Amino acid sequence: MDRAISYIAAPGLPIQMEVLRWPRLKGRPLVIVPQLKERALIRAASQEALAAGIQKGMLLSHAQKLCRNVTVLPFDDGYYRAGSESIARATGIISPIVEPVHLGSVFVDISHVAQNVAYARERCECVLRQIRTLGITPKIGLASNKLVSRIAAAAAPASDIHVVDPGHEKTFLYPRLARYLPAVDADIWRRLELMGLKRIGNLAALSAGELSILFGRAGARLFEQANGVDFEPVISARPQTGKAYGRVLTPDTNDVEVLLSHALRLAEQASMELRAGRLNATRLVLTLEYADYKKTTTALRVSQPSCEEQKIKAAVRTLLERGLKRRVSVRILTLQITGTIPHVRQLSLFDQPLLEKRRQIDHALDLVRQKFGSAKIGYAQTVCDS
Amino acid sequence: MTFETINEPVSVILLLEHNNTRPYRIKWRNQRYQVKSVSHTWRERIGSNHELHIACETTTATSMHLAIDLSDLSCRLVSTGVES
Repeated sequence: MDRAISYIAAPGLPIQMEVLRWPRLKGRPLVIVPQLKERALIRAASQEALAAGIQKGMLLSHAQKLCRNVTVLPFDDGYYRAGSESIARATGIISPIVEPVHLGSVFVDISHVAQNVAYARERCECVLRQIRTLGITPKIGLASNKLVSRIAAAAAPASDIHVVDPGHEKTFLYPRLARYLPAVDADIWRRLELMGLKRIGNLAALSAGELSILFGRAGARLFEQANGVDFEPVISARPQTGKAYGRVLTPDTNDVEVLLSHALRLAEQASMELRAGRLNATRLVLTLEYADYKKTTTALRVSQPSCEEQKIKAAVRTLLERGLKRRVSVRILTLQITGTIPHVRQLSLFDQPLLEKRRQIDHALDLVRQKFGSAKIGYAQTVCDS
Repeated sequence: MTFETINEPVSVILLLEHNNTRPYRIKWRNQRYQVKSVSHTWRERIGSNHELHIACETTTATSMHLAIDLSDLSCRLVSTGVES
């Protein structure tokens, strides 16, 4: 066996964790929202809630109309992260090469410990048992690459392992729906449905050239993925390339001062995390989602990559000025850092007392936030919440 | 079930058993709640401190989520869940 990659996922981890915490919620419709506000969008829903017609991304007020007895819980990031970390720790018993993908999902490279498929399966069963003791129900996919193992995990029944033997990747993939492929986004899937190319086998029957004509740059990736080709390695410490920070405004507002205070708060949060990761931001994107569900996105390439709070705030201020073209109230603000480079401090030939002072303030703020939490200190300009 | 975020200090009688910490009785707003069972415990990091979180069921059918600051052993009632 050349490579043995397992994908371990805990589907609906937030819901599973809430049922673990509040066992009386088992079997009841349950939704999780970022904030307990009527206009909050649903982030996760239990099977019972989904059966009642509730969907992810739906307004909470709408969900409550669809299902009167739905239980609403706030998104508890720290708690879910603790659960996700315990899954990652449990997987550490079979291999140190663990790549976290998102909340409750990891890739584990067991190539160096598994000489054959049977032994690799045995190791995965060991992890499965370990995760079950935490009260979480996982699904595991085992295959020769990341792509196939991920699809195998999706095909696995709850609390079980789906193994795709080496050489049988195409037999496994061809009858599956093409939307399982990572290269297939909502737009491509809609087009595939119109063309009648729903199965992965239909895509694999086309040549790379034909797919490129149909889907442009995504065509080449689709061809590789449809044929089960994925050489991407499992990387334990993947450098973070981007992160998003969001805020649902209550109530919707078009007051520039209030919007600015929220945007600056997001900038504070982003710059603190950049400094903690010793990274400089190179590109920022600000998305404004209006009350009529329309969005405005503005992007800015930072001329001098930085993690300084004042520079990030100045960039966010510019983005907000550029983005606020409509008079409709804003509902959601999202700040994304889409490009980062390692932070290297450039020494100057001349004294720059102001720059040094800012650096010291940032450092002091970071220390306070590290010790007491990020909500405990901030600039006065970010407290305008009225 | 209706959940409410409380975040108020509470008095808790804790039992330190073999390998776990179990609340025995909780006093909140001059009312005593006897703990029937512990559903889940986990740890969270707040700044440089660690908090031990305990979710438990009381005999009065109230679910409680407690947080114990391990630096000073102060207890906080994070949220409650009541059958509506």
